[in-house]
Amino acid sequence: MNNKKSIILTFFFIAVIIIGISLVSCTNQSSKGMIIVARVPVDNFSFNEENICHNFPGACLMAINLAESAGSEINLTPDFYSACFPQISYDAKHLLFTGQKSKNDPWQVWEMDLKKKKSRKVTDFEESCCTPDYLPGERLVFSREMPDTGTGPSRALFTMNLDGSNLQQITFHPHINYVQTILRDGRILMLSKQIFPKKGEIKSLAIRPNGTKAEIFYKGIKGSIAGVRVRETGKGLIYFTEQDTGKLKKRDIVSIHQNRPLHTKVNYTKDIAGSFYSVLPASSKELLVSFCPSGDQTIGLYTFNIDDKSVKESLPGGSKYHFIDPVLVEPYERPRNLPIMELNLSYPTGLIMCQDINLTALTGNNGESIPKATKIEVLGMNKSLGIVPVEEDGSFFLKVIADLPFRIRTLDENNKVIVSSSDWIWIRPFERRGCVGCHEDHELAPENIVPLAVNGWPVLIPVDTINSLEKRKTFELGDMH
Amino acid sequence: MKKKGLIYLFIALAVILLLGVPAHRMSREHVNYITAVEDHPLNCFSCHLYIQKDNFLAKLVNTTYLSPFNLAVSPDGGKLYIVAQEGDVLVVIDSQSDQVLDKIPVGKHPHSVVLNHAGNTAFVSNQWEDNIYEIDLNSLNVIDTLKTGSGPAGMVLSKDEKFLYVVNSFGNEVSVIELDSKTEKKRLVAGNNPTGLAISHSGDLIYVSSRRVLPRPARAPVKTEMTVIDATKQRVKERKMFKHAYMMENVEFASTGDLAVATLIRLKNLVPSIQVEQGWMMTHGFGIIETGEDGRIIQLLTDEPNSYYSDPFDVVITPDGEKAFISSSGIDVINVIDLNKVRKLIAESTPEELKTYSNHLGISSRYVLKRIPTGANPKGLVLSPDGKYLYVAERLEDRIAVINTKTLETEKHIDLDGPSRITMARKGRRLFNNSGRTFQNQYGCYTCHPDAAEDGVAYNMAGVGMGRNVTNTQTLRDVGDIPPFKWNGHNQSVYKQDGMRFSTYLTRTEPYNYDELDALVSYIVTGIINPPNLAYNPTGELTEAQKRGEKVFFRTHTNCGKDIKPKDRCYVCHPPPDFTNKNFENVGSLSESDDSIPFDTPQLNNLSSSSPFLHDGRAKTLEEIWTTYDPGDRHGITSDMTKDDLNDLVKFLRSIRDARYYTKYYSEEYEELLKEYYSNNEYRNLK
Repeated sequence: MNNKKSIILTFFFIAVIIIGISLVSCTNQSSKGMIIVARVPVDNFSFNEENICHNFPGACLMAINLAESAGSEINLTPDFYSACFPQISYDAKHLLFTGQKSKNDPWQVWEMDLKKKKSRKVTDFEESCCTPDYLPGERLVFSREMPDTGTGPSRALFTMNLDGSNLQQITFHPHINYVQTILRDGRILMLSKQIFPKKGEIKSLAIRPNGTKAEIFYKGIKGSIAGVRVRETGKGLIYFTEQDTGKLKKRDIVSIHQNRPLHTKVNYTKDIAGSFYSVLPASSKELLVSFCPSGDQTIGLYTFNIDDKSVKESLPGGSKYHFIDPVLVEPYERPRNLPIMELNLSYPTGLIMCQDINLTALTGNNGESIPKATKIEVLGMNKSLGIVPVEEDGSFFLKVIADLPFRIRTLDENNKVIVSSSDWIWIRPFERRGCVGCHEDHELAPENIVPLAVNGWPVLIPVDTINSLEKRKTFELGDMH
Repeated sequence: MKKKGLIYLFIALAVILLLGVPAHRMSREHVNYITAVEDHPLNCFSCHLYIQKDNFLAKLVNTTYLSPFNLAVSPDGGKLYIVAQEGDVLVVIDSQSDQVLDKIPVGKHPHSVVLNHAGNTAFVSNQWEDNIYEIDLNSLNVIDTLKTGSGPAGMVLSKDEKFLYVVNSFGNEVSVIELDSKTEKKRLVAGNNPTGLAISHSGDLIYVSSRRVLPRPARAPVKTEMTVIDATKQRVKERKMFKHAYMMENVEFASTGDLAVATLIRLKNLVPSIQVEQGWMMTHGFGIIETGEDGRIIQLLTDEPNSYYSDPFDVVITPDGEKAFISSSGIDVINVIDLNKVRKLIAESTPEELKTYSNHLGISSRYVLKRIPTGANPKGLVLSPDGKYLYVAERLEDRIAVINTKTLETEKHIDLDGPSRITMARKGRRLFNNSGRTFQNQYGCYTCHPDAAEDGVAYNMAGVGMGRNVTNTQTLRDVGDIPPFKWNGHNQSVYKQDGMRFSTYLTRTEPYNYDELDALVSYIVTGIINPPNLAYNPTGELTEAQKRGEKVFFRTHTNCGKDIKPKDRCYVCHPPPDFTNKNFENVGSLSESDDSIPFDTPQLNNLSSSSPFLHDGRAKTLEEIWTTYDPGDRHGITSDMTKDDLNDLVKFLRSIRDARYYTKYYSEEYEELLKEYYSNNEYRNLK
């Protein structure tokens, strides 16, 4: 009898295990191959040249299995008025998106559990938030509308823990900023446009998640508009769409290489009629794209072959909707988790040095070289923060109030402007930053010399209008930062 | 009975709980202290198994790999001869069948192998034995041993094969060995830590590439020597200077005769180390040396703006002179350089433009044809005689990669029959030699610690501010027993040294995970030993001058008979075996740009090869420590010494060998002095 019992028990456990495995297998199979895409009502879809990023009222997020026949779409956000900008977590278990519960709500960041299909609110501000993306270490980054302080509407990037704690603003310049992606090296790539004192060109800047070391990553030809979402492959190719400067405002698929982004742009679709609105690498040869073949058609999902440039329809938009921003529900390699310890938020200042302000990629009229500058002027939002003589070798060394945006221009001994203002810079608390020159070639490494300026103490910015060397020496003695 | 069993069980559980809880807390505190974090797994093996050096456990856990370093190919291309640096053998491979034919035992830490034109004789330089083995390749036996200078490394045969030129890497010389008599005929002074050399195709010129910068004043721009030897006269013809560059591991002539190519690193030690972006710490590339009269030196990079190809080691040039292959050993890549495009770039550029290009991270797109991935730590390269194949010594894989030079693809790997299991220390060594854990792969541990020693350069580490606290790179050889670490002694363990702060301020990327940290620590603590000090103390028997110097080192009274306070006696701060008391001392060596802190006393083992000296590297020689930088007798009492006393002291300091030679007792004469000063516990701790 005991033997019989043992045998029955054994078979029972085996059966339980088999059923359990098959259930698990079923669950995994159901999410494989799925993509999530924003479905946007045709009437609510418009690209205004001034707006480089759009939230689409009435949009929803659809989960679609492209391998199955039509009818397999699932609306993931039926209880939202609008939902767009999906972004998958590294383990493919969660999804960040931008949404509105009702029409007049400010856009906020939400996170969905993809298994339970339940969403929770991540941000809860009066201002609108959008373009969220995951950061390593259970954090996220997103763009948030900033109060207008007289510079016009701007947007800054913020990081936060996924549980809503530890909110940190990480950009401080008068720009409109949107998160494009998190690069594999751990930096945030952001689409950025200056709004003050005058509107600037759209550029992509790379920045560390603690807001330090912002630098130019990519800029298109003048007047072009890069798409917000970019996707980096495991081999370092970064795909995105870009609107050209022609009358048709055609949008093409372009790529740059992470190793040398300023000079490796490839346009894959300039000879293809129609516009592309988003791109997702599906394999080494194929991209899943949002494409509109002509002005009277809607945007659907297509497969683009990089080799033969063919475009094949996967999911047409239909008459009422466009499909944009596809993401694949698959785990992917987490970017590097860059250390944040370099910052010390209790420090009110940061340091910046330049090797030689006369090292520049600019040339004068008719290609002649720029006259030598002997001073710099640090410009704040509305006033000069000080004029500082540089050292004989053209170097300077400043201690600036942290998180205060400023620009630098170079002057001659008569305070005449030699090189006009740089882009906006900010230094985070306890950050140390270095530059090679002024408007220098961004691919130039520094010469191996001791900049004369760092042999002494830094000059505090803001300072009085005129700053003498003697006055500088008495600054900051005992204040060793 | 059942009740008794339950009671026993209960008692056992209670005992476990009573002992276990405090034991767990103690373990947690102990691990937290050693690792400087609060969540390192409580895994005793990390520290207490994988860092055993030479006991039974160490033998169990570790193994000896081959570690192929340099190689040569027979004139018919049929055989490969590979120097196995760790295995102390010359591995002979049939390049067609990939069979290992033999492993010929050679001397300690072999460096290079050259074959004669007939392919029947090989010469292997034994870097840690100061000799060369001559091997008959028919019988595969060592038939002779040739004496050299200190640390023989690269070699070339003269065109007529009458002479063998050998670089003595520790002695900074080139030995000219006459092969008929097997004797050294001449010794030529060459650079600082030279390792590579090449002979022109005409046979009249030899270039010798050095790794370390030449001595220069503190904070002065660096330069490294490429020594040019007139091979017909066997004299130094010229000393070419590479500015702002160092670590020229190897050099090669193009068969076209117009240029030679040397690997190099363009360091940024004078620039405050405040970021990695934009090539701020290190850039890597090669030097072109035009061989004609008034030939220029042009430096170019292999790096890209967001990706660096660190630690270039070897260079070979195709027979047609059109392509160069460079092994970037820090990132496991072979850079393929189109030399015709380089020639064109040089011809079309002004001197100002060329100067700019030496720092330009985008210029490599003009001449780098391809970057071929390899296994771990690619080092020596050799081309097959027909130029069709490139053989790559993948040092930390124990194998050779075979690359087709036309398709630029790897065709196969040849396994050298090394150990199949990868030990923790081997994993750590791979991490040490790979720059993949630094932001954008810009540099690895090896970059500043070549051969796990130091690179002879002081860095503006910008610990506070930007121009302050310049620090001299310290050696990592045999450091496991001498915490704390860093000049300021802030790091109580190697774990902490390589932990979170390391990633924040040095590598500037994600820190090592705990498994990686365990492996790295295992390698640093167990896998790095000092080379023998053959130049100054080959047997432990000191010369007369060294013995006099030893007396000075251990003296307790000045020449006038005045008592020297213990804190001013050399042996008190620098007691054997490591010649450090592992304490903080202020010896008056702070400069204006230093924060006011005492320094962790450095060890003195194998001091002879680690100039410059003092915490900021301002003393170019040992003598300068006292003659120039200690006027007030704060670094020991030396003002009463004669020049001979100081010379003898320096000779003794140079004779100090690895700590393992001093572990039993130092010498009876001085043992008492040491015991007099240190309590029993302290003295035991020193050992």
